[in-house]
Amino acid sequence: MPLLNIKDLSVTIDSKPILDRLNLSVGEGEVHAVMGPNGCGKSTLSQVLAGRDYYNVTNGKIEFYDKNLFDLSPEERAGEGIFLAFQYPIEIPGVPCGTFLKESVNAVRKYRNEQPYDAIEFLSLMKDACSKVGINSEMMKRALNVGFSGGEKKRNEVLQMALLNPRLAILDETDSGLDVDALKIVADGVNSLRSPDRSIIIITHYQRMLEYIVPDHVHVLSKGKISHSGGMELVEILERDGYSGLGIDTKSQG
Amino acid sequence: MSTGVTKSKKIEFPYANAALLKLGVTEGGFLPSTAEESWKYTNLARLAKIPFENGNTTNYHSNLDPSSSDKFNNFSHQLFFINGKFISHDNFFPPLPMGIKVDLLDKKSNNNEYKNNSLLFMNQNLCSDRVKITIGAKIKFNEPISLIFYNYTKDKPLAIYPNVEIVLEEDSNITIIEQHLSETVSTYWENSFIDIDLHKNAELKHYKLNNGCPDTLSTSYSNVLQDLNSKYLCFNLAYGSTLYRNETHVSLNGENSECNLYEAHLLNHKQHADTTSIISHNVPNCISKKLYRGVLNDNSRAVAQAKVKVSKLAQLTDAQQLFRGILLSPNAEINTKPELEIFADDVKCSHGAAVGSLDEEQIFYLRSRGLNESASKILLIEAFMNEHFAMIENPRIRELMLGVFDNWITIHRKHN
Repeated sequence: MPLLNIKDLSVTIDSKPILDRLNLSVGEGEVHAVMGPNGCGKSTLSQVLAGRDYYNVTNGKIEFYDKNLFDLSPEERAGEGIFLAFQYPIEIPGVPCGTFLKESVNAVRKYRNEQPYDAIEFLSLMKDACSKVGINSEMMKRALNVGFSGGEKKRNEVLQMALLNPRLAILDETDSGLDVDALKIVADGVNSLRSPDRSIIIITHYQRMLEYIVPDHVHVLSKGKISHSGGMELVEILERDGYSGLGIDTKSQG
Repeated sequence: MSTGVTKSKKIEFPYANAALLKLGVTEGGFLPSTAEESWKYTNLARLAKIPFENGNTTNYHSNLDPSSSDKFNNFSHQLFFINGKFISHDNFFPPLPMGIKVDLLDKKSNNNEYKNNSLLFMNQNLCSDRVKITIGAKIKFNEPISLIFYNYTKDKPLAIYPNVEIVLEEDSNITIIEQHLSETVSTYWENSFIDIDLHKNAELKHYKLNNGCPDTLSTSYSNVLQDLNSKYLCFNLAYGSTLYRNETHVSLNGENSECNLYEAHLLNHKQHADTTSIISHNVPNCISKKLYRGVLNDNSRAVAQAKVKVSKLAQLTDAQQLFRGILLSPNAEINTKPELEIFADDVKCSHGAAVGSLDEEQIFYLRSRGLNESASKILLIEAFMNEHFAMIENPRIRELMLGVFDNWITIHRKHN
């Protein structure tokens, strides 16, 4: 049984179709890349998986293990092990990063019937995770994402991923806005979290992230559905010829 | 309210009329109406219908122990008022430190100074005691002086008139925490007047907590005069009463003086709270700030209005006003009115107001990290207010205020 099984998913915003009978299945421990031109519905897919109610699901279903994802609130999905690394991590003034992380980790542990961490346990855990993803733990005293650089925000997402220990991580354009050095740090962080009991979906516009995190499967999303599935050979075609190399019209998306 | 004809600027107030007549005062027994611009959003009409008795005629305090620490959050230096009446503290508390003097003043009957402000006029004429606290020159205390205004009613609604004058002589520096607390059967109306005079280089940190019982009414007026290099900081938290208006008038009369007014509203149900201030920059080189934050639930209403007046003389004034509010319910409402009246030409004055609901994207971000909807909202509310509470330097006072905030959060959590 796949970990994630998306069947015939259709999604609209203000009655405008965004996803159109999309099918995708992700097995345990697999790394999938979903690529596509701007406006093809990549970010919509990630937000729907995480439970944003701004979108209108008009058809289909999403199974996560034995659960129907549409029965679960965003926080229950987090508890079940779905993690979305946001394309644009949200700034929250007044909430120190460390406080937020502790609340978040303990909320998820509570959902999983695990003992919450006390302050001291959590602090040492957080420091370990920080050094793993190249974050100075002093940064945890600052307000969540406020005044963080693009690279710091993305690293902070990977830090949360490390601490929440998800079964499925969705990285939504985690490479956007990063220079090569920052990209490498983030990719190293993600690679260190690769494991047989964790699946990863990498959503990206460009191939460069995939040079660092090599996926098992590659899909191309166009006009709201998966138009091509395969391996790294798809990435090579895109790198050489762009989306038109696959016969995709980048102007008529969305 | 509207009758189609020009609204009267006065509301007849039978209780006050009778109370003043007893003193031989034939005018002043009325309330301001919403036809007065500064009272546009706060309607006192409900007061006029209540058959108040003057709180100073009651003698309910005989079996109260003001030193009971659970009830009154005792600080080591304390002045205690019951229903506006000053309770000589010698019986209950250790003597005040050297350099702090407390005097009872004569009443100012029928004082013309306040003829144009009916609430102040009533306070001056009908108060039980006028208390003057003088902080001597060069006296400095870190430990706060606590003023407790404790209101206690039984079967009759009471009108209560605390009246305090605080003078800080040259180079003195103190912290005052003013708490309005109550235990009630009937309602009361507390109409207080605090007169503050800061001499050269004096510094006062003034914390105020309105934590009166539900169904009580409160109007409070502070007048602050500031001399050369003086600093006034006021943090006021409105929490308890059903109707509350805090009005502050500051006159910056000495150069390089600075005034910072912080106001916080935590409201539920049908509570109405109003913060109104007028800061007058009368001389050059002064700084003033009015920063408001409010969180409103249910059908509550808040008013945040402030006027900064910059006289022709007051060059290089730096004045800032910022009002921010969060509405947790579609029926809650905040009226903000920042005003600037500037006659000098080289000044830095800013004002801003932002009122809205909690940010959906922030809520979703937190929920996607495992926090449930209610916990996410509470975290955001706490973050919003904590930035404001962080202004409170004294740890005990901050703890006291945060305790009140926690109560509000608990109530909010229960009924949402």
